Amino acid sequence: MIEIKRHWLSASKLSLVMLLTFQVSFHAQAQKAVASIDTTSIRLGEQILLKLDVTLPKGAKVIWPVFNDSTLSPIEIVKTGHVDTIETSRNSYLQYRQLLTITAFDSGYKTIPPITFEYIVPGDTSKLRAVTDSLLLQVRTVEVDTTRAIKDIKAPMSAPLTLEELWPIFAGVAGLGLIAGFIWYYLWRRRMRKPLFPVIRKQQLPAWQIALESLNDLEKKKLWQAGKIKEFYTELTDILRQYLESEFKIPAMEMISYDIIEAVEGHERLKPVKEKMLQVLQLADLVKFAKEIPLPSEHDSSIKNTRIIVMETKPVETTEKAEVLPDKPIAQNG
Amino acid sequence: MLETNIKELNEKIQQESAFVDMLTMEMHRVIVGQKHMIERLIIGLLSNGHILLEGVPGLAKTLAIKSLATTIDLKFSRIQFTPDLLPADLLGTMIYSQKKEDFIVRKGPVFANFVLADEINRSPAKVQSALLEAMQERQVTIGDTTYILPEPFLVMATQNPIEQEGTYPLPEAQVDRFMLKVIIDYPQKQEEKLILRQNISQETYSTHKILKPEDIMKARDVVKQVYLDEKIENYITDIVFASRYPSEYNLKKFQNLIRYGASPRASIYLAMAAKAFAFIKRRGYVIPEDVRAIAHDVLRHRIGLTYEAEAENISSEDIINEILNSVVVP
Repeated sequence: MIEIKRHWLSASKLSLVMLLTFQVSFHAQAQKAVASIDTTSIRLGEQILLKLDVTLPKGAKVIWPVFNDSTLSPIEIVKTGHVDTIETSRNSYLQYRQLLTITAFDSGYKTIPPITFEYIVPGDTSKLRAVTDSLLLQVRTVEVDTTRAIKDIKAPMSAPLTLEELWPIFAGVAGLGLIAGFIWYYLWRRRMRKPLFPVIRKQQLPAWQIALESLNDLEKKKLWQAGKIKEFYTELTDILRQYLESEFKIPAMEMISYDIIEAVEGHERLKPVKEKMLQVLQLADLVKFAKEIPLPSEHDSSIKNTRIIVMETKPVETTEKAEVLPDKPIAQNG
Repeated sequence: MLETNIKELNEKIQQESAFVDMLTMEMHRVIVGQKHMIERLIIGLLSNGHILLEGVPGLAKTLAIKSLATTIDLKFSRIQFTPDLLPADLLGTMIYSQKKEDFIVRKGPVFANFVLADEINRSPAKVQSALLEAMQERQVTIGDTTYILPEPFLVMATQNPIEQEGTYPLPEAQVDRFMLKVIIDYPQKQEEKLILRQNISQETYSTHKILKPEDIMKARDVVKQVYLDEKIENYITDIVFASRYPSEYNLKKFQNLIRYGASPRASIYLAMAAKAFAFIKRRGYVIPEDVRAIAHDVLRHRIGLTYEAEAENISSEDIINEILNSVVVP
């Protein structure tokens, strides 16, 4: 009985040892940490890449070591790259990779120590470890020819400016230029007593169309019906003056009625509507400056006359001109 | 249909301004042409503003003022300004009367309704100041007593733009007291011919008294009633402000050419002169045309130019023209 018990105990111990061995070998095969270098021999100060690859099951939480200058001492870390994640051929595993730029300034054989990565697999709370193998790096010194004279230290070499260095300067200059340009534009618009952003739609329309639209708007406002007769005639004459200014380049906004009528004489298209213009301007002057209150029919005739002035003096459409003009010169015999 | 007050005013003006034509006709009996000058003299008379006439010799400046004075039944005195003239010669002084055994006041030629200050720039500053003070205050103090000058009181001064040697140009502050500065130009060819004929003929031309002081005072009251709309007020202030702050009126080019702009007196005189001009044109209300018509005469001596302007041959006339062409008309 005792023998049986001993056998059972030794068998269970064996199976436990076997199970643990299997577990460890399973992890060793599945999770691995590999450190590799471009070359095993460098000159003093030469920089090489140290590649760290860790393959872990998907979902595992890896605690990546933090590298500083002295982590791999006496080997120095010049630059630490980002940790990249790479899909592996095995779907259930992910590979983590980091590139470190390393160098050394002491000659001899230097050891890159094993680097330990701690991780926790899903469904387990214990921390597991993956450790890289240590690597040996030969750091060669520069051979000095003692027979030759000692030379002075070389002056620092001027490295060419890269686009990366230059772009902040360019961006700064461009930014300042934009700000200065905007301030200048703002002040200019303000001085010209114009809105900051011009209404492009209105400028694109021909002067006669703007005038007609404005006349329609004025009618819709029903100013004289509301007793605002002075405002009505002020707006009416402003529309007419702006039309003359845009279409005929007559500075009518700064001209008195008498001068406007005189200026009309210089424009063939305006001559036929001179009488109508006189009626509108004279009546408007009386309303604006002499408290005149015209009859309702006079308001209507004023706006009607202004509309006629615009319609009868608007430029001939280019399409109409094209129809009148022959496409090609008529060939002459001989 | 006009509102009653303007309509009534228009009718009133039609009646009251009838004398303007008579006055003009009477003056044209002795003066050929110079319509602008005569019109400005009447404006000064109607709006109670003093006038400075500037022109080369022989353009009937003195004759025009003398003729205007003689058409109205008023006291007229002419003072020839010379370098040795003293303020007392102008204003008057206290003299000792042996008969009364006391000092008595001897009033000077300034105590008249119309004072012609001929060649005002020939006298030193103290005499000019004495006259200009009387013009402004309309009173003169001799000894301990202040004497009010008669109404209407109008000073018409002349000055010669050439022969500047030995002259005393009027300071800006004093020239500002003249309501109008009228520049007189040469007559037209036809007018010159008429002047020639008039002067060589045996016939003598003279003016007659056709008006009384009461007519002038009555007309002045009507001129004051002429309606000046707020739009016109804005137009006047815009013009004056454009002379002070040209860059705000799209006239940045004048920024360094104007040393000083027109004073508030310019705004007042622009309004008063525009009213008088409307009255002459038989209107009971002022329109922008009236302001424009008198703007040069009111503003030309109130805008100071810089050395840059002088170097570039830019005159106050050019600046006024540009201002009038830049300010938006109501």
